[in-house]
Amino acid sequence: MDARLLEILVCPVCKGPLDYLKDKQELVCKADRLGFPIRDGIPVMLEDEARSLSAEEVDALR
Amino acid sequence: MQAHETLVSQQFGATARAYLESAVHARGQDLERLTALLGARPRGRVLDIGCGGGHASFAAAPVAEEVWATDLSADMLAVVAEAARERGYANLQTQQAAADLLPFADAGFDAVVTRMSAHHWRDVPAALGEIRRVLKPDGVFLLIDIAGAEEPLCDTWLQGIELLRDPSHVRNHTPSAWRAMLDAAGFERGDAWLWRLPIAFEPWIGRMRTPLVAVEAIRHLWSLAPAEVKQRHAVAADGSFELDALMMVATPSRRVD
Repeated sequence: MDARLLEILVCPVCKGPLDYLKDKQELVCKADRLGFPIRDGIPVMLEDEARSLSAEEVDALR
Repeated sequence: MQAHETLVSQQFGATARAYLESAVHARGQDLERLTALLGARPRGRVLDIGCGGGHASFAAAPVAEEVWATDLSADMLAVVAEAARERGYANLQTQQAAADLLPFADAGFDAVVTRMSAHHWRDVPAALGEIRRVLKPDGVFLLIDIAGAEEPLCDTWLQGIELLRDPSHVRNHTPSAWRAMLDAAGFERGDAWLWRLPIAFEPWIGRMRTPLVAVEAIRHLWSLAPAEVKQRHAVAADGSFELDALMMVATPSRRVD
């Protein structure tokens, strides 16, 4: 995951910052509770393809 | 039932390579103009929305600091990334994204370009809002797309034929509609060009893998078209015709209401 990518990418829905979850290979928006998958090193920044996170999962990231 | 975005992605994913190699897409004075317009500005960060075969990105890469080629289709982006490597554009980066929900921070781009993509967008005002948002205050937006006909009769025939050929088609907006949408989105309009684009029938349906039933329907429609429509779109006996294409330059207005 390119560090430069993390500087430029935001949540497509709320434009807020994203957290990089290395183990899950996801970029997570805590506000929208969405996890954007990273496939072959490329973040898929489409709302339709994002995973919904549970409140517990988001809490664990805080 | 599938989402419009899925349809767009499928239509182009299956046929990605054809768009890289299509002469209609790979060449054009509009690409030369794009390079010239961007080249006249300081090198910066350029965003290409709905990059398709990547031709606008390739035209921007030699005169840009970095180019972000975005598209709904991951397959299309893979073709673009490979072509960029072959051509030695190390400053070109691909990113999957939707035009009306851009995953980029505010005011991060010196230029936004889009070429032959906006007729697939379900919500142009939302996309223009996003483009305005990610552009720096002194940035520039270069729009290139097929244009609709201002005459409703000719426009309906054109849109009908486009939809038969490609079910992910939304609308070729007319120049007057673009002017109004750009104004509403907080852009100041600069230079604009309108030109005719000859479309050879067989490659046109071949690229999109239009099924025979739809090809027959297009032929049927063209055979029924009133003289006014045939003349407006220069319809030939084999189904080949001419489209209007437009290029518009726009910059963020100083003030948004």
